[in-house]
Amino acid sequence: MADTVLTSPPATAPATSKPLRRSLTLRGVLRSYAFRSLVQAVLTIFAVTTFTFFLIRLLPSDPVQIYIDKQMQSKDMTYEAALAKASLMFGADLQAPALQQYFSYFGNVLRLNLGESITSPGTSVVSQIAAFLPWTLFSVGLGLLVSFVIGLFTGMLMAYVRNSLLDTILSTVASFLSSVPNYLTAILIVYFFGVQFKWFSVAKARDAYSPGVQPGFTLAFILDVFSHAALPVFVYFLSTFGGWALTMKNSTLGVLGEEYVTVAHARGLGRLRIITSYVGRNAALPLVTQLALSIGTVVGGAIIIEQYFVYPGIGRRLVLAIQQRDYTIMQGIFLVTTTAVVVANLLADLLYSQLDPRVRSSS
Amino acid sequence: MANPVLSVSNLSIEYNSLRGKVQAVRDVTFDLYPGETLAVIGESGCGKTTLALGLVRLLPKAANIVRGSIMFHHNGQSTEVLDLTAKQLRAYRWGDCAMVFQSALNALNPVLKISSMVQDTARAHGERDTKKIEQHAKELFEAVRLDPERVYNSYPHELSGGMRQRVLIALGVLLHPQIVIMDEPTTALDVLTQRTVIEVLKRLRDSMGFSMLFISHDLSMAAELATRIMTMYAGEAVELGTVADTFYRPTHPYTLGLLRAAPALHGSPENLSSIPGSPPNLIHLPSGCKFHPRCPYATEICSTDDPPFEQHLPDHWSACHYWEQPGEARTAYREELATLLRESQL
Amino acid sequence: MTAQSTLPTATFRQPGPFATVWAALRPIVRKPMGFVGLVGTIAFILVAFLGPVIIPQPVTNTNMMRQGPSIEAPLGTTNDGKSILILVLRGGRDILSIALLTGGMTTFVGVALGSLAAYLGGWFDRIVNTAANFLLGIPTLVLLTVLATVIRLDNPLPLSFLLASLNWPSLMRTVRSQVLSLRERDYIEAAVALDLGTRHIIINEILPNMASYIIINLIFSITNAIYSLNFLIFLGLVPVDVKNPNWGWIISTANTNQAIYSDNTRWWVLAPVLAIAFLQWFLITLARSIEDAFNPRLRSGG
Repeated sequence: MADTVLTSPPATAPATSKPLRRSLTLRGVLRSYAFRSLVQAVLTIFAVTTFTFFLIRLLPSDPVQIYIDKQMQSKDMTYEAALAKASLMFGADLQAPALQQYFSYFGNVLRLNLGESITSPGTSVVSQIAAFLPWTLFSVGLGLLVSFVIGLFTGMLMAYVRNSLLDTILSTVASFLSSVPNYLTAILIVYFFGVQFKWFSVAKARDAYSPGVQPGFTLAFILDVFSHAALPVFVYFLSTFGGWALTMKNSTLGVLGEEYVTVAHARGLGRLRIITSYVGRNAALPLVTQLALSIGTVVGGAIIIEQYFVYPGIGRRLVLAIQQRDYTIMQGIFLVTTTAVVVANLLADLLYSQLDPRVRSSS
Repeated sequence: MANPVLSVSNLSIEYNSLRGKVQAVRDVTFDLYPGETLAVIGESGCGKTTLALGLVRLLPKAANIVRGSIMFHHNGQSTEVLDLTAKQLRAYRWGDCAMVFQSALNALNPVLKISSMVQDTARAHGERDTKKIEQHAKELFEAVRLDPERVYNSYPHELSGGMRQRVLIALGVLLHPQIVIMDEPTTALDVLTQRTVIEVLKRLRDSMGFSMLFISHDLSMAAELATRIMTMYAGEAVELGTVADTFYRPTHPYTLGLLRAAPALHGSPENLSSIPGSPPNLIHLPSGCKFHPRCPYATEICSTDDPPFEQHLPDHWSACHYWEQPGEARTAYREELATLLRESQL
Repeated sequence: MTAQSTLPTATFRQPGPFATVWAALRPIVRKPMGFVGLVGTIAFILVAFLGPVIIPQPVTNTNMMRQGPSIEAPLGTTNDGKSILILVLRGGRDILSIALLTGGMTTFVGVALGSLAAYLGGWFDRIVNTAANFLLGIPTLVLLTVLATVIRLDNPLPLSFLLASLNWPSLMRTVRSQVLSLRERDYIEAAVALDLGTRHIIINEILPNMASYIIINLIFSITNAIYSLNFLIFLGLVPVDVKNPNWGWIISTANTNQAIYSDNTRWWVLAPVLAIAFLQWFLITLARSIEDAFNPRLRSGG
């Protein structure tokens, strides 16, 4: 799996003493971790948008030119008309000089106009994204959530039964599962559970919901959606929970050696309270960081996994666009998916700052 | 003398380490009386922290209490601490016997506010009235010279080391325990904050009347706070007596060595001496008296017979074959000092 | 007879190369996981590079199409009657060579940028950090996919370069923080005071302490490269040698031919999948045991 991180938990903020916070002042807000994360996210999205704009134009074989040529040839358009049409497709005013093109592109993006599909003219890029992106968000989100929760509890368990047979087994399993690339895990799942154990019908393992079912807020539909998402979700779960369990185990072991846990016992606190608020909350912090780091990887892996399970997510749509050389769709998907990941990272960052009061202000 | 609040007899604690069994505490016997402050003095590694952890049964997994008893006497009842069930132990800890740890830098949960930890502690001991607890805690913060409003609602990382130590002390006395164990409460602090902490401890002790077990390597601080002093060496108690008795007529060469190593206000620097040699390996202890390799009075018998810890003078215990000699040496030294002082004033 | 000195001569023999290597390896192979990781990795590398040399290319054999396991083909045969076992034994070279090349590039760039950024500071440091933060904040696989469709990746060099250009940030960060912390250490100050020169300081004082981090990150760069490479192969964005297919391409072909559903041909899919899976696992286990051996964490108890 790409971006595998070491299982040693990343260092948390050092303990320093500082004057009291309570800074709902402007300065306090500006210096706060939340604000700085927000600014960083906005700047990244800005950079991504700029990058996307230049991406198409810096290609060795300029798809814009190819498109224009094709339009002029097959539709017998004049250059100006073809150029205007291309402008519409690519979402930028191609007649203007370069810098103005950039601004017009930017303006279009802000107005949620990402152009039209080259392969299916008349279909807006945004409509395609709107149709496919939610499925990816749903399946990846669900997978990460399940994986996080199970990884957290498994990791804590492993720390408490350290060096026992159970720990060795779990550690080896976790280590192996997290090493296998997630698209290969998908294949292994289909083989073991589909072909061998026949727990599901491989032929029916496609799409977001079964053909006959009506979309709506009915229980039948919701169950159907979950059953169809089960396979991709299971793949995301299997490929990520191992790494998180191991991180959580090491993090928990570290926290168990900390003085405040001993002092908590000395204060006569009950075991449950200690496990949850003293050990658990502190040990889970590096896990949240890792969660944020892995969102991008899992979304990337979704590209192949959705293809494999014929799941109508944004990954699959991207593959289709690649096969059809539909550059405007590719461009739009890249922009939106990257933005989505940046936003998710921002949310994870904010969540982290809520959980760890030490990062909240300044420095 | 009134009945003791804590009776420790023959307490022995061993660690399992990779190189063998470490005898961290061996046959320690002492009584702690209500309202008194007993200072436990010794070098690092002499077993004083292990002893303290043993008293609240908070030893790490690798350590075992192999022998001995800890009797807690309260309201006419006596309970064997080593026999307490987990539930009883939780009530005993902090409620009857609180331990304030050495370095407060990491003793507080970084993700919880001080208020949460206060409420946690109270709730764990059956107190549900949050308002009452908050009130009480703030009063205690005031008593330890902290700004109650500010500290009660802050996170540990927002407080300095000295402030955290005082929070821990306030937390320690929150439930009015009979016994408070202070493990080197001032070691990590600067001199000014040390002073504040000592003052605070005195005031709390005087107003709340708990017995204090004060662990330190600093003799002068012990002299200020304590009524009795117990010196420990290589896991053993080697001397136990009142502050005056121990300082003026020590009955163990190790105590004498410690006294000599602390500079007197009027003495000249040449009189300062350290104890030659270094503490023994706790896995392979010397035979006979554990101190004999470093002892100026040691003879043949000291290397073969381990002297028992017995009462040689009223309320004055020690483990030494030549227990009279340190006292004599000390008296001689003090007379010499007095003479020098008189001469310099002439 | 020559006169022999009666004085004992104090000679300081530098430990030979074997001794140094053994000193480095011993803490790793002492633990079972480390041993498994190291041996497994070496075995894979040997097979991947020696396989194509020793084993001849399989030929199409129409008599043995889609046969189950037999003596001649212990893992069965493909659509073309080729032995799956032979294909898999020969299929690792492309993957490993590109992965090693990419890993090397990533490590070089990461170490160079990291140490320079830490040492020089200032605007250079800020630019490098901004670039790293950008790359770490976006899903690089999506970017890789888009770039791979528009850039020609005919030979390994641009491919490795592309993969390396997306993977250097995490190593750069580690190296940078290590150099920054090491700069403050006493023995560095001593070396500076002794005026030993920047180059000497970096090579002889700083780098050996970072060696374990660098090696661990090198291994992770390799695993990332393997992941990304097969990713691109699955999407058909990398040209493959159909006559000498690599593992990723074997899997692709097997999937297209529905190999997974038939007992006869299941190894067509499973063998290369397990090959990649185990290679990744050995590499990661090796990296983890190096980390355990050289950067020990808190040990509880005692």
